[in-house]
Amino acid sequence: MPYVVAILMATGAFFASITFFVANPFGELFMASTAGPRPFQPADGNGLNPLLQYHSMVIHPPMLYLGYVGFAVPFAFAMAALITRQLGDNWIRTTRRWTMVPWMFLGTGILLGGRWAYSVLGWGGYWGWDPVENASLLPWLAGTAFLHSVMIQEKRGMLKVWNVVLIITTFFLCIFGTFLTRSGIVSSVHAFAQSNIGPFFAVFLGIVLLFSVSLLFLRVEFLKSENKLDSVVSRESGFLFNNWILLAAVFAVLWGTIFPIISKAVQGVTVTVGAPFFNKVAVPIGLLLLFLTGAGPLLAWRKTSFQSLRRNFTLPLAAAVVVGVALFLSGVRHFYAWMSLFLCAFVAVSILQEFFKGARTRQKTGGENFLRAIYNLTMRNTRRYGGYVVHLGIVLLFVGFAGQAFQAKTKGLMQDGDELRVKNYVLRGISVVSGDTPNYTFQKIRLAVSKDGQPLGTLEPDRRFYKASQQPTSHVAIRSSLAEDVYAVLAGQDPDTGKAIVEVFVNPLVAWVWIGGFVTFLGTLLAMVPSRVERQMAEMRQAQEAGVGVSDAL
Amino acid sequence: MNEVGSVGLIAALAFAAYGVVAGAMGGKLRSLRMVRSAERAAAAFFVMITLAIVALEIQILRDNFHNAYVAAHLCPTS
Repeated sequence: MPYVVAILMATGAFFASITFFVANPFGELFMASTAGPRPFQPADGNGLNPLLQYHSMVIHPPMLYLGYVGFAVPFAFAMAALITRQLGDNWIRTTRRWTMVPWMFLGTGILLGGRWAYSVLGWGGYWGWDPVENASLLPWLAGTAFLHSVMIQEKRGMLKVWNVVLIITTFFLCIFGTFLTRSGIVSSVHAFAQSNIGPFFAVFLGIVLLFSVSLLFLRVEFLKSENKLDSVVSRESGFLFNNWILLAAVFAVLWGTIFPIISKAVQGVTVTVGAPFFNKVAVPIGLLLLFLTGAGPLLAWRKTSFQSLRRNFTLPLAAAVVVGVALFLSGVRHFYAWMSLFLCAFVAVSILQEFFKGARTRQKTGGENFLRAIYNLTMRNTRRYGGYVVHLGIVLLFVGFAGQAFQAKTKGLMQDGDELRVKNYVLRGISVVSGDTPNYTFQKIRLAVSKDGQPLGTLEPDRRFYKASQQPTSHVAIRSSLAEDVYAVLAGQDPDTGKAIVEVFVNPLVAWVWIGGFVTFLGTLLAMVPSRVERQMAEMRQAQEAGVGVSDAL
Repeated sequence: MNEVGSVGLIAALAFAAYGVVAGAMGGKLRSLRMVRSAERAAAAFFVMITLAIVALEIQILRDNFHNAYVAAHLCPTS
């Protein structure tokens, strides 16, 4: 513990000194006068950036920061374990929940950021591979690899060096993410977060890297694996592949994110890498990960026999083939979207099969009814079944991602009575109204929405001009359903005709992204609940300690 | 209130710096007293940072535009 406190306090000292000496929020305004500087209090402030005046912005940044800050704890334990040479799996068991909590908050923060981008930025999507978005994704990916990889160390005493490397990488990327956001070193939609603290973060990053990597090299002989990989077709291999692919994703996203800095340093020209690069690289990697999400838990520890493979994979593969054929027959020709939905079916059925098999066994041995058996099964091993719920959440996320391939959009000039068609939707202008609030002036267009001739209601996108900051923004109107979102943006006013410029997107399956995020959140909470086995072991330990105490007293 | 916030920050920094030294010394010398002292410094760090946050929140809620941060980021209507 003492070194854990020391490492955490070193991190705290860095942030406290940055906050006090470089970006002090308690600076005061003064006005120059002949008698010297006099305290000055303007009648009004500049106002909050209009883009930030959105409800999820109240919790999006704290969620991200809880994630960033929380990863300092497993990092501190890892460094303390290296310093004290206590490199068994104690530090990993102690920090399991300390890793899951920040992972959950970081993931939730990322999704809330996506929801903000979707509802505020008005370009029809929720993820644009912006450097600051990437900065939050990077530690989440590395943290995901760490969460999986520690299980191999706990079960088989393997990958000890790898686990330390992963937690160093995760913590480094947390600080790096803050550095990217606050330094303004790469251009971003998050330009409002820029300040002059970048160089200090660069130095801190250097110190973190030097300290942790040196310590790792000094202790590497104490991190020898207790076992070797028995077979390529095993749970360990599945975890290992999962780790490699997650790390490949980290490298690809990191490379694309810092490429403008590298190109500027090498060629003197800033070359920005856009969404097409990231999509090209990240989509296949994501699909491989999705496959492993389903296949990994079907593999046995040490070695999986052919019979076991056939028994576990037959049903999920058959379900995936049925879904794949149905999708093809219904006209889905986008390869990645098709593959994503095919794999979603495979993973979902593989997870449900695990629940079903466990419950059936309990039914046979304990005579429990099916629902009771599912509940008891889950509560007996919350870590495992909570993990499966997380995987189900990931499946739902991928269903939502696949929908992006079928996005339809149109743009037109509109006033009362004008119509805009997109897919089988018709949007008809009802009225254009202007208004004034203490915070902003606005222009709003009312659009009657109908689908296949059936009226669905109205959408009212508006364009606001914020008085304090003198900035315009568009306020998106969304009609959401499980199947698709109708998303309308008032982009401005045409100077020639005076008509409103309206953009309309139909975004299929987006709701599943938010639902998937919520299920992932719930699954993580479930995985953190102490399981019955854990509680029984804790009670036994307490009883033993009490016994020792009594015998000592005697 | 700005003074309270600044005191909170500088005190937090001092406790953190002490926590680093006491933690490392406590580990090296195996001194339980030092270790306890480091843990208390960590708790005090948390309290001081919380104090600074509360001081800033109060200024935001009171629209104190004499504070440069509040003036740069807020107006009563937003």
